[in-house]
Amino acid sequence: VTASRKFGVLGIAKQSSVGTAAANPTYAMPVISGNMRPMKDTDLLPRNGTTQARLGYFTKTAHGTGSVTTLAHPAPLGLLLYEAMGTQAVSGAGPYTHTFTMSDDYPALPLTVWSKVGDSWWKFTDTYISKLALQGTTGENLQVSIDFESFTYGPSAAPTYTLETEVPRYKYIGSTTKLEANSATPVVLTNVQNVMWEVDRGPELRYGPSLTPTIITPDRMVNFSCGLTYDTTQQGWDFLEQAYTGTVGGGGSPDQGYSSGSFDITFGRHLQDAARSLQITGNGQNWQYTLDRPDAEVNPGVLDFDLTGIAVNPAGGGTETTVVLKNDVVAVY
Amino acid sequence: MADDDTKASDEADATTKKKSYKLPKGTYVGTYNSQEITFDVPASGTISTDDAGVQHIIESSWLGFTGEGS
Repeated sequence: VTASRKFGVLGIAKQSSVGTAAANPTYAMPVISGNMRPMKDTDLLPRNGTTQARLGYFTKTAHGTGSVTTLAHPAPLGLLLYEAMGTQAVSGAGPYTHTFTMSDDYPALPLTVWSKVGDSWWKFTDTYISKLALQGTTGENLQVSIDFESFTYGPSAAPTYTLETEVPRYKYIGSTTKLEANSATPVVLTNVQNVMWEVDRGPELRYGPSLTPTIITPDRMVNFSCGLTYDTTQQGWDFLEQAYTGTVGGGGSPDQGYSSGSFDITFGRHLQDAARSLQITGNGQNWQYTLDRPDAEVNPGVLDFDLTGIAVNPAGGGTETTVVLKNDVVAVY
Repeated sequence: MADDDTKASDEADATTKKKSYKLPKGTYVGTYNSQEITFDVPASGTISTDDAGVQHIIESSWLGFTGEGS
């Protein structure tokens, strides 16, 4: 008897049409944690009218769902970003520049997702991304967490796939981080310890006539947060002053609105290969953040604080956030 | 006048007015009416189109385009 190991694989491919599964994954990645799973939502049948005996359950809806975390591999990350954000562009010539922006519309062509846990493969057709989060900590590899919703599922034979290579992949390098308070003097921070950027689309699967599932136009939410360290050159303190007085370096009265700023985070792919990178920006003053003044403590150590906020749609329309991915994928996803 | 005709007709049937945008050169992909639409922007950086889908993609999601004209 051979024990089944917990090793998991996530495979993804863009479908050529809704309702038709792709044959094999375009990209396949080792899974750090999580899985895809079939879901059946059930409810009790009405009881028998005369005896009040229970008659069992019926299936209300059946769909696939799952939350998977992998490393942010340079090539498949673009497909995930497109499916989460909705609009993409490509230009340049090796490395190719892929730009992703937020759109009201989900991509018309969803994903087929394969999920391997141990020796068991399942395939999920017509899969949409409900949430995509990129998380980075200084010096560590960038991770991407994806929440999926699928219309249909089933066990599957092992597809034909090639795992993404373990290296190179994006590593968070704090020194290339730039954050701006809403001040006359933008603050460039070199002491950002960690970042989290999230697109939360919150789609809703609905079942119409004859139980054919449809997907409702999703929400359009972008969140960004980071952990900073206060230092003696006002980095960080500016954010605090701005948040509570409306200006940096002055008293002023509290602003009724939130303080706004922008973020511009670059992840290097490899120290020797800076041309291949991942950049996440929040445009202009569209990042509305909150933070608390840190506690003093008798123990030695540095002052850290968490800066958390939402990115809002610009007044004139357009995107809340832009992602620029430079990799070796020639064409649009 | 074509403009007058457009205004008089129902919006859903109206002919989309031609508009120009400035965008970085490249190939773009987006979705309109559940259809995936791909279009190219030439090296000049200017795209002039009466395609409602292309206009929707640019206006709803693209940052950095400048100028709208007919």
